[in-house]
Amino acid sequence: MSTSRAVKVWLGALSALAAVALGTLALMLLRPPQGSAPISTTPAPTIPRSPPPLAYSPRAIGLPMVGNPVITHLAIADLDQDGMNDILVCDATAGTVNWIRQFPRGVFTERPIGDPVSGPAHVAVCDLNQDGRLDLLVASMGIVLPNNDRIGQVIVMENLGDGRFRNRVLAEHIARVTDVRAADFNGDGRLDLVVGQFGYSQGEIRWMENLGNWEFRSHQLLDAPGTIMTPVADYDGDGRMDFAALVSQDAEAIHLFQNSGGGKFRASILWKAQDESWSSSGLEVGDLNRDGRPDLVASNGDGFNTGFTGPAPWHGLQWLENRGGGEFVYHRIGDMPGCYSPVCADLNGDGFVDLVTVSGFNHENDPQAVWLMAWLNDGHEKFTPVALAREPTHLITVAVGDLDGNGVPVLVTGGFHAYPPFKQMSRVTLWRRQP
Amino acid sequence: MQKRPLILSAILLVIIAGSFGGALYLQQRRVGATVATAGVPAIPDLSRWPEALRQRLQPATTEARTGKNPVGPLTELAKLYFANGFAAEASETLGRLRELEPARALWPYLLADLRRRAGDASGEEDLLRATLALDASYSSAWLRLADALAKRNAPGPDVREAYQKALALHPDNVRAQFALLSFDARLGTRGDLRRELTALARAHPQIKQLHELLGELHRAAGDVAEETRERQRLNIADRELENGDPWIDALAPYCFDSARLSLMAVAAFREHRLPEAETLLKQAIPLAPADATLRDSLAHVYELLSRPADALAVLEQATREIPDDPLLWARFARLLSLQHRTDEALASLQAALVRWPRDAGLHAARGFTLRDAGRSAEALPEFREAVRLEPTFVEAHYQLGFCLLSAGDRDAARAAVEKALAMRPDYPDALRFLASLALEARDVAAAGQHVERLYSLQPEEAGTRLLFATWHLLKGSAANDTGNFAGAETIFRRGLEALPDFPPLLRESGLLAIKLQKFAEAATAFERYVSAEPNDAEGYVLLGKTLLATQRDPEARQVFESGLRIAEKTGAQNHAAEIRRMLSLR
Repeated sequence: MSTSRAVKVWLGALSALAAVALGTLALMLLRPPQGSAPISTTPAPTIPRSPPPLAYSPRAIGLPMVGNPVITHLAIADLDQDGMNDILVCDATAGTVNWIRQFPRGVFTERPIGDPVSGPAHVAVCDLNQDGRLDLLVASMGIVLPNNDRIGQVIVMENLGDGRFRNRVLAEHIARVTDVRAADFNGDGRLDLVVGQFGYSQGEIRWMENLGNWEFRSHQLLDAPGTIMTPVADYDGDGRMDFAALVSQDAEAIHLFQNSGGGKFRASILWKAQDESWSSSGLEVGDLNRDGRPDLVASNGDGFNTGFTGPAPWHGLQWLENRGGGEFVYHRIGDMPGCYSPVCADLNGDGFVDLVTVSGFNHENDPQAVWLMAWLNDGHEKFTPVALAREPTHLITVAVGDLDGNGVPVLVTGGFHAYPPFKQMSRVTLWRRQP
Repeated sequence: MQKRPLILSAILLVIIAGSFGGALYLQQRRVGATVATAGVPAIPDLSRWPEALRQRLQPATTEARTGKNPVGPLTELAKLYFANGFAAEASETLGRLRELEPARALWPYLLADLRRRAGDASGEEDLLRATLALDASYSSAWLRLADALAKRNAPGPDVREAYQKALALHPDNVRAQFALLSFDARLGTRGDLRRELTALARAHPQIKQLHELLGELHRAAGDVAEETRERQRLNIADRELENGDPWIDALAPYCFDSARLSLMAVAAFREHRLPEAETLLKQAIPLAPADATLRDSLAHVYELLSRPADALAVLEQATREIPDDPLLWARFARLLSLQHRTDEALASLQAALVRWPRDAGLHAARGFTLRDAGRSAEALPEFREAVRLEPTFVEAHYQLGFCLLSAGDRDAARAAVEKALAMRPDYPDALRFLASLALEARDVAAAGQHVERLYSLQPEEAGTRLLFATWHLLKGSAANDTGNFAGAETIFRRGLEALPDFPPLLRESGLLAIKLQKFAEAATAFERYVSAEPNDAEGYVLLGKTLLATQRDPEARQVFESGLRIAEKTGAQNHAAEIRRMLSLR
């Protein structure tokens, strides 16, 4: 009996062990393997996508798209002073400055104005001859893509009334001009000009003293290439108009030219990137912290260099806080590949100055790449990026203004398709805020 | 009865062993699969990419996840992701490969490149050191390490040592030689490096960077003249320092991004690695068949490789496949014209101009074709239209001037070329054109500004030297005529420095020396004149007389005898008679 019992115990133990072994095997067979998640085709987005606090609907306006549009700059202004804002377009493909006239409200009709302009890069509106009509200041690069020829021009399109404009070339055969702005720098009551000349290996900044009767005298202020923008403001609060300048190429610096009066300027460098591949791309003036002092917003994301293989991780946006007394403090706002054309505006109506930027050179093969971005200000100058559009691609200019007469800012973007791939293209797009 | 427990026991033992064995096997497979999966990223959104990329990524991803040996498919994935700019995915796969193949230097090297692109200098540096610990024979890694250290302002023995290691591996590598010299120049610890750099620049005169640095060193040393000369050499140099990286370049076949390939081709082109540029462009074209610039670039590469038939074939096919790009038609016609197929070129341009009547490039191409065929009068309105449509078209302004001159309108020609020059102050053709016009009109002052500028740009060019010498001849002669002999002497001397054997200048210089009673100098000038113009009997007369004036009668007789033979041979009767008279006097 004892033997038989021992055998039973033995067999029972073996049976239990066999059951455990079988169970283990079954468990291994049934349990899904760890780490073998199905292949996803959707990468994690870098920008929070939902719920979007701000969204816009695009609408193509103006002339139809023919070939590869190269829109270098847009401005919003009521050119014919009919109470409705219009849009001005620098079209480098056509070699024209165009007027997208709004009339009646919500109807936009585009036509070239004045004579053709080679490589128009920037247009600004002012009444230069003080006849009550708004003229256009046009920076002409001659050729937009890299070139060291002295093919730049400073052009005024004199408003003759009735929608007619006459080109007046104020300077020619000079290094390629990227920006022209007007202000009375010497206090003589006439609007003078500040001219940024990118050039290529040679360039400069000059101010042009208005002698009256369409005569100007040039004064060189900087002998270096790479100037992109020259926003004008009274930065030091002394009542005289100064200007800042974004100088790229080898410098990658933001300069300030303080007006000392009598046509004299004191130059200083407010900030300089440590790396020559910083890729400065845009500079805008605005009072971000509402302290009454004009601050500067700068973008870096340029890709015009022919060695460009993709946006760098340091591309993005920053602002220089004007603390007064010539002190400017650098703040990084955020990253954005190929960041261009910062513009200040209160987009969501909360009373704080937000920012809009576009992307000129991005991961064009990535459908998740953001080409139009809002940066919402929380009132303490902490900015939250909000992706507004993932196409169309290749935008280097955006303008913001009240086109609908309801106080709600509308965005207008321009497509810059000078380099392949020529996909997801646009020319001029109007972006209205979704309710 | 006793057998049954035994049999049952055996069966149960088999079940136990089999079950545990099976479970163990499954577990091991899963562990292996998990390890492999850890380095296999999900395939990103490829909706804007060629399908071919997905077809390569998909099987490699599956195999890397499930296969026994993940190294092969992971390698494929890493190369594909790296070559197409998927930094995160490349980083993940390369990291896994580094674990699986810790002895392979390629993986940390590629990771270092990703870190560099991300702006992470210290990460790059660590990975480059890891690369070199595995394979110290890869010179590009040493160069990159040195660059990385130098870039983050860490000048020190490390940087220099890294450059030296690269140089030791390839002593003839110009990039390494330049990098080391450049580094030392920046530090200023090795004194004057100009001699070393000059030797390198003379051995590689086409490379821009060498002249650029040398110019800067001359400027720092206060040597303005040498700086100017080096800048002139820089203007002529036509290529960039070669910057190839074999390990990374070898991944180009994995690239499916035409824009990326195009940029690599541009770099290869600038560094004069033309066969590589050709390969890259041929790879890019099927990926972007509608991109006209790729076809145009390939044709240009073929032209530089002296393969005009291939260039023409590329453009012919391009105009068929991309008929809506006027640039291609203009380029195609230009090539036809260069191969003297004028009628075909004009026919294709005619058709294109019907479609694009306002395209300045097409009008200019028609102008070039007609001008090349000697039909300048017909070319003239084409160039006129081109500059009307595109006022900044510098070459068209110049060609307009050329045609206007052929039509006899010198003033309009000058105005057109001056316009080109105003836009491009260093335009050699325009400077030469205006200088020649002024010299023909004997307008020494007007010629001077253009000649001097041209000479500063292209001092080595034969035509430039001739213009420079001619201008000095006229300028010196004018000084001579007004009695400014010292001034004339200086001017002639300067002209002869540029073109030592320019006969008219030697003749005038010799005559002036006689006037100034400097017979030895005159004799030297006439000796050089005779050797430059051995069939001009006048030279022998002048030389012989000069020698007589310095009591070198036997030499003078020999010269007269030679001159007499030449005069008789060439029928110069006056000179023959004069020489006979001189000989009879002695």
